[in-house]
Amino acid sequence: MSPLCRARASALLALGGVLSACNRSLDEDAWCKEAAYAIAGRTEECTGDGALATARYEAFFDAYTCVEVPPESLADDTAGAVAPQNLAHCALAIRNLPCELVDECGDALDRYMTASPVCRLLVEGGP
Amino acid sequence: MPGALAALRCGLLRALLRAFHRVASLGLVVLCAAALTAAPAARARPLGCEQNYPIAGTAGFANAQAARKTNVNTYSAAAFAERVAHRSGLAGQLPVRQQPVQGFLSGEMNDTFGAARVPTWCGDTKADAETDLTFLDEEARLARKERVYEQPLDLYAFNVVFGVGGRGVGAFYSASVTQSVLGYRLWAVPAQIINTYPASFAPLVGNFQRGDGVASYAVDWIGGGYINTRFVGARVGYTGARGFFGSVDERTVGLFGTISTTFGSEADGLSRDEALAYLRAGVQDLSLRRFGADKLGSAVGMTSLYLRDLPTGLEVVGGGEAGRLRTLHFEQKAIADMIEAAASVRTGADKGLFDAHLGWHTPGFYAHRGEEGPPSDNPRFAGRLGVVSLPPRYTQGVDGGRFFSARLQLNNGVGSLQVLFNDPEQLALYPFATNALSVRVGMDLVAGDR
Repeated sequence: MSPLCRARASALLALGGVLSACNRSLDEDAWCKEAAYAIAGRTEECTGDGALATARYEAFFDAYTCVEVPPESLADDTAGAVAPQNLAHCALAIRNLPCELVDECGDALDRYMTASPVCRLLVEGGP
Repeated sequence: MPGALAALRCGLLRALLRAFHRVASLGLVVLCAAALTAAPAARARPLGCEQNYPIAGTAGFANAQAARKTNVNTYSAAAFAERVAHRSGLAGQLPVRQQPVQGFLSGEMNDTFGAARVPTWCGDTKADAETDLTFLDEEARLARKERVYEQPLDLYAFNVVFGVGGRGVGAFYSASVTQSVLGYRLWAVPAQIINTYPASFAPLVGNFQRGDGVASYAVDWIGGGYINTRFVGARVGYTGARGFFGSVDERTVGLFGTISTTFGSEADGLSRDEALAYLRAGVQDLSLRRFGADKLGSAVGMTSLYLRDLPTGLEVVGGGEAGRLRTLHFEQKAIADMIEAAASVRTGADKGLFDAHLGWHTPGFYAHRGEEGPPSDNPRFAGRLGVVSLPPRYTQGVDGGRFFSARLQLNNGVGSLQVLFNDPEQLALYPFATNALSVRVGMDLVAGDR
């Protein structure tokens, strides 16, 4: 096979590889991390202070331990009988907090975690 | 002696091209192997899911929404007109008497695979899915138990510019069709082919943007004009969808400025940062050869130093700088007509190194200022490797860090191919798109007499 043919064959194989590599499993702590991202993200959006957002993100993992949710779990075997896709409601609720409430919550992470009833299913412990 | 030097240079070039071919082949094989070894893991997910729903509230969902907005800005008709200005003749730097009377046509196809990863729920599955499946085999039944997973969001853009130019003045038409598609990668090439129609006849099709969740489709076009003189060139255009575009460049030193603004206000749903879509200004391709220092100019190459200001897609309610990415860029191209180096730093609160790259290119890949001629049909190659440093941006689910970056580019006068991996230009626009792969295919046709 000539070098040109080899290169073409390699390119086609690579293209096939790129096209086929699609879906990926969620990490088992994905929903818990989403809550942390949401708190940090909303902090950054409301205050414009990236350092404060970083501090709250790190404080979240100091204060809480993430509950792991296997991606194949069904409603019956998820904590509190909540289907995995509905656990995203915690992050969604935090991301929609008005900035006035974010100011009020400040560094009190527990207050953010009351934004949705499912938030407490994602973490253990607390400040 | 000059003959021996030329032979040595030629030999070196051949050896480098051979080495590149081997490295590229090996890279492609590794990529294939990675894709194949990932296949068993992929089987655990619902391959045949018909109704999948991106999950709102996640960072991936927010990123996908930001990405589709940025995709429209980046590949809008105005931005494309600026990008192809030099190569299509919009910003020819030849003396006016040498400028061609010409028609030109440029097209470009951009695909970014995996710009965001979006948590998705497969609506086909149920708790009692075992009794509700059209697939009968055990593997498919188990696969459907995994009801949440991540899907990649791919961004597509098809751009076209065409126009006519006289000696020093002309008119152009530029159009773009941008799309974001979730988890349907086989659409990448057919979509671009279909999009040639709305791109070519956008004034008839109309400007519109449509976005449902994270998927989007947008058509944008501008009509504009340009002037070229010996000392300065300018291009202006109006676009109904994105506002005003203007670009001015000075022809001796290389001073330039480009701005793209969007008409509208916060009442129209535009954020403050979206109103100024794009700003770039500084010096581009300063060459000492332009001032008669041929030997020194050839040895040190061309220097660019400019500031770039882009919206990050982050809407900051309380003010601050997170809504924009401002970077200062230094580039040295065509060092000894073979080497290039580039670096940029972030300015503002999270200042620091943004990227550093070193590259090699075939002789003649870049033309010095004032020496541009008709494009050569000979294949020309450029490649560069480096690192990109990203600050944490938790609202986008980005923990930050340093990422390996590479860009390969092949031109042959009519067509061009670029493959970009963690490219700084891409990561500046999509900071969450780490380890995403972009492919650009371009074509330029110029007809006319010189």
